[in-house]
Amino acid sequence: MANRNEILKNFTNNEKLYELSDVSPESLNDISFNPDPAGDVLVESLKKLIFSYCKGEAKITVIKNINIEIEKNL
Amino acid sequence: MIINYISMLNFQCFYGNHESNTVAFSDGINVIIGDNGHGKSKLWNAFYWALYDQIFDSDRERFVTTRQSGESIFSDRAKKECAVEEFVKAEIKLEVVDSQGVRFEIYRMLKAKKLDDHNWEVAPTSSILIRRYKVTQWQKVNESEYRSILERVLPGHLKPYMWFQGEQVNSLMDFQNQTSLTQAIQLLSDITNYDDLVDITRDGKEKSAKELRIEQKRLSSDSSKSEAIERQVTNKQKDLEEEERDRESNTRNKEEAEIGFDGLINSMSDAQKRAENKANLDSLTNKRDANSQQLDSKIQALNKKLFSSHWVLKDCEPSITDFSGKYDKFLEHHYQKAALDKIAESQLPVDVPQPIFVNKMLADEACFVCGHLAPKGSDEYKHISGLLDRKIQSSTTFKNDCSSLFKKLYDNTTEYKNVISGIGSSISEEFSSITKLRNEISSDNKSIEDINKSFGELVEKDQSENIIKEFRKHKKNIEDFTDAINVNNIKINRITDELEGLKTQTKKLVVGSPNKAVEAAAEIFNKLSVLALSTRGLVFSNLVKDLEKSANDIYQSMTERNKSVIGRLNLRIMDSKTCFPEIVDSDGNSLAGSNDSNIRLVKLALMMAVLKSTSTWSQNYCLVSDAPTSKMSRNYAEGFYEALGKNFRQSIVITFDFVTETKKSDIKINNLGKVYKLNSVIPDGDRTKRDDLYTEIKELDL
Repeated sequence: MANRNEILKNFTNNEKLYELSDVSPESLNDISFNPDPAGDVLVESLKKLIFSYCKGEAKITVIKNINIEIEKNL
Repeated sequence: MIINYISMLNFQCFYGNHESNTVAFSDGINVIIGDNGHGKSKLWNAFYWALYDQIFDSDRERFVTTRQSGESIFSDRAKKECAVEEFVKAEIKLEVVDSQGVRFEIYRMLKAKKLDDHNWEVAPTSSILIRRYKVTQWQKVNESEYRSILERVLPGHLKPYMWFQGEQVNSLMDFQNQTSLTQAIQLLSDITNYDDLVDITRDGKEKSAKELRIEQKRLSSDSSKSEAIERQVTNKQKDLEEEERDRESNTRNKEEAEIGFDGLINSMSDAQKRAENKANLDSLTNKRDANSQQLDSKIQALNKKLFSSHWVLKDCEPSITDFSGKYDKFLEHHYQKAALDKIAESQLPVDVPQPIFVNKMLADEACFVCGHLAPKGSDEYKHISGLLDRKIQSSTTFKNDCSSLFKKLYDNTTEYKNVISGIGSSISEEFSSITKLRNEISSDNKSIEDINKSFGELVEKDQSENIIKEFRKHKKNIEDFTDAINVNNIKINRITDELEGLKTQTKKLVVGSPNKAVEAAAEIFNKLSVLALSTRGLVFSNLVKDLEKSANDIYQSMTERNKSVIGRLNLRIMDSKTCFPEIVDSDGNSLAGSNDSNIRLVKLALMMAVLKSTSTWSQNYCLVSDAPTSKMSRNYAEGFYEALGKNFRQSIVITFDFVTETKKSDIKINNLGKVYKLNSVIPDGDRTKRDDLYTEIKELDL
């Protein structure tokens, strides 16, 4: 089973995330998979992507879960 | 799992019962020594057969199944002793222990019936039995658990890298094959998780973009136009995908040609000149490529500059001067008219006195304002009657007043007058910078050509005709594929721009507000897709860097006892998806002429580094190898054992090394486990006969 914390860490270590979103690296120091209603929509969607994938869910379910997360953040 | 022991009954050259053919193991490096033809490979086959129902056929250099092996599974002596119509049985028993200390016995069995002295009826398949030790006794395991237990003894993806024959090392880590190491990395690391995430986000991006286009079409003011655009988008996306596939293939081909080219350059005798030329070539190629990229961007930006830098207004100055003159005249005329109006407005205001009073004044022929008489027909009377027509007169001055429009035009043209005067020099600066870049690229190309020619001359000096042909072929391929990649890039940029244009057109046709969730999903999936691809690249690059460091550490420790020049291992990352191993000198130039044993050692170091990348593998599973150090000198072989002892909890090495040693203490290896010697015994001494042969297994003591 894939290590979701390790994967999330690799994503948050990627500067590209900060180019594409409004968050700063410092604000993601204590990032966890708990939902953050005030969080950036890209970061929350990324968390959902990794969490859902690491749970072994099918591709179509992972995409659906991200769509739900995006709608929640509108 | 860790292996406690293996025992054989009438399996190949191991004639006799389990008791006489048992090899027990401990943690550390377990060494089984044997001279050529004394059963080393047969012992390795025993491990493999027990787990995988296959043996390695050295003659054909491939694995064969029990069915294909037939009667060769059985000991010749056991077959000879078997009576006609009786059965001969071969069996392997492997005892393993898992990380919780639970022991398992794995039995593999095969039977054959002797039909006559030359013919056997061999069972079509072998059978397997697994027992688990529970509390105080062995219990048969349910067959449904067999597969998972065997997988726990050694996971399938680790099998080729942990249980291998020395002669397999070359194909496992084929330095001439770009994908060999990449496949190992993919199998043995978690990089495939990132590949999956790239795949999911790409799908999400495509789906959400499609949904957005459907939503935009639904809200389109011109649905037939939207549909036409949609068709164009689909076609362009197909073109883009094809072009990207082409570029990927061209990049791979170019890299292969570069590897071949480097290989030949490094085989040249004049090493110093080679190093200088190579350094110049690399620096010039990098500079030329950077300039080419800058030139492409500049040329692509020319269209935009027509508008963003107002180049489109060049030569408009006379028209602006003409317009300014006309505007001045218009203003003069306009102000004159306006002045007349002003005069009219300075008279009594319209409706003062009100028409009723004016008519009264005309009737009374007197002005009520000043009190003068105004007899009918007098000038005063005419003036009073003229008051009735004031309104009509003042409204005719500016029927269509365009002065504010003309002023706006004038202000705009004045603003651009300064810009326009600088356009000529801006264009000429841009084109002179393009010309300069072109000249530099052309000069660099010439220098690159000269260096390549010089390489060619060096190769011609000391290489055969075939190598020269090969060199020219690689050189031409590099040039051809570089050109092809440039063409791909130009096309990809053009199609991407066109797709952006089509997206803008679709957006413009939308009436009302599209669904916000659909819009947001398209944007977020697009970003997630970029992010996943970029993170995959970073993870792969870090993985390769760690692997390179780990392999070099192992390689250095393996070669400590040998004082020759060994170079170091370099893992060259290609197109961010594959990596290619090469041995380089301290300047990073490929080290030519490494001997076979050195190359084998590098490959083993790399395999160990890959296996070590997940610490649990080297701690939880046993490495079993037959003749991994063949072709190696004693120093190299001892280096290999040192590295093995340091990095693996348990290993079993079946080898020719130490064949002259008679005591365990003569073998100077740290972390040494048990040591055995295999010895073929032919009782009557006739070495042409195998049907009396059996193998002695003797443990060496201190």
